[in-house]
Amino acid sequence: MTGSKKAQFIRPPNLLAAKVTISDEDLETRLKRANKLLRTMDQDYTEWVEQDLAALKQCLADVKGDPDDIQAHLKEFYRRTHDMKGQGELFGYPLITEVGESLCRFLRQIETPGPKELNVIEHHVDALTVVVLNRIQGDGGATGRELTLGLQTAVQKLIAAEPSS
Amino acid sequence: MQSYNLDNVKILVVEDNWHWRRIIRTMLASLGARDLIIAEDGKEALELLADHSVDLVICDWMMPNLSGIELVRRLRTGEDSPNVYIPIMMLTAHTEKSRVEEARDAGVTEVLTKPLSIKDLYSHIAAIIENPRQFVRNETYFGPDRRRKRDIYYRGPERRVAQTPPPDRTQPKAAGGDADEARAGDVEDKAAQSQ
Repeated sequence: MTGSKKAQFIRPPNLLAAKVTISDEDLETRLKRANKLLRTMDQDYTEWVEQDLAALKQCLADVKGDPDDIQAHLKEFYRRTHDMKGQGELFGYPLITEVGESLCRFLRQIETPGPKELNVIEHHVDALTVVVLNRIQGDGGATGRELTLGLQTAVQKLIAAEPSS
Repeated sequence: MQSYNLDNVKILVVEDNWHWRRIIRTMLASLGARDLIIAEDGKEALELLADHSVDLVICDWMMPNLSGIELVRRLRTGEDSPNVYIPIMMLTAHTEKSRVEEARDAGVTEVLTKPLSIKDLYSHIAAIIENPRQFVRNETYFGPDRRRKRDIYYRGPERRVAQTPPPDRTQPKAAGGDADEARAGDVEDKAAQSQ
C-alpha cells in the first residue's frame, strides 16, 4: 500500500423517493396497460418510418452530392440511422434495428467514404427500404435472412479488399 | 408486485427526435408521470433547468448544440449546474461497452439502451428510488458511485485516485431548496488507496 489519497463520499437525500407514492395497482397490471397504450402508436409508426426513410435517402443523396460538406452530411446520416435503429424493434420491426445497427457500425469505421464504401451504405439503405415498404415484421423469415446475410457479405467483402498495411 | 406512482415527480426529457419524444412521453404518462417538461437539446435543457426544479432528467446521447454526454458533464461539474446530484438517465442506442463506460464516467446515474421497453424504463426509475447511489468526489471524478457493489478484495487499478484536482461543485447553486437539500446530505471522507 502506498500513500492514501482522500476520496469524498457523499450521500445526498433521496428526493425522488420522497416524491413517489405506492400505487394501488400491481406492477404487472400497470405495465400491461402501458404496453397497450404504446401499441396504439403502431399504426403511426408505419407512417413515420416511411418519412424517416425518405429523409435518410435524401441525406445519402447529400453525402454523395455535396463533397465539400460531406462530414456534416455523414453526421446527420448517422444520427438518422441511429434513431431508426432504436425505434424499429419497439414497434415490431427488429430487422430495422438489425440493419440500422450494421449500418451504424460500418459508419463508425469509415472516415470519408469512397465509391466502395458508398456502395455498402446503399446496400443498407436498400435493405431498410425493403423492410419498411414491405412492412416486414419480426425476423422476416427467409427474406430477412437473405437481407442480413447480403449486408454481412458486402461489409466483409469490402474489409477483405482493404490493403493489409 | 407493488409499483410507484410518479404523479408528483417532475421529469425533464431531453430528446431531439420528435418520435422519440412522443414515445418517451407516452411511456412516462402510462406510468403516471404527468409533470413533464421537454427540451430538444442539451442547451435548451440547461435553460429549462435554470427555471424549473426537476426531480429526474432523461436525456438522449446524440443531440445537436449540446449532446447528452456534454449535458451530463455540465450538470455534474459545471459552474452553472442547478443541482449536481440530480438523477440522470441516459437513453442511447449506443450499446458498446466503451460508450456505456463513457456515460458512467461522465456521471450518468442509469444508462438505458434503445430499443427501450416500458419495463426497462420503470425498473431503472425504481432502481434510483430504491437503491440511490452515494456520490464520489476524487481528483478526476464527481458523480454517482460507479461501483454498485463494494468489493473488499478488490486489488485492481484505483481509478478514483488521479492527477488533477477537480473543482468543488457539490454545493448546488440553484435558488430554492436544492442547496439546503445538498447540505443536509451525509458527507463523509474515506481514504481511497492508490496502488
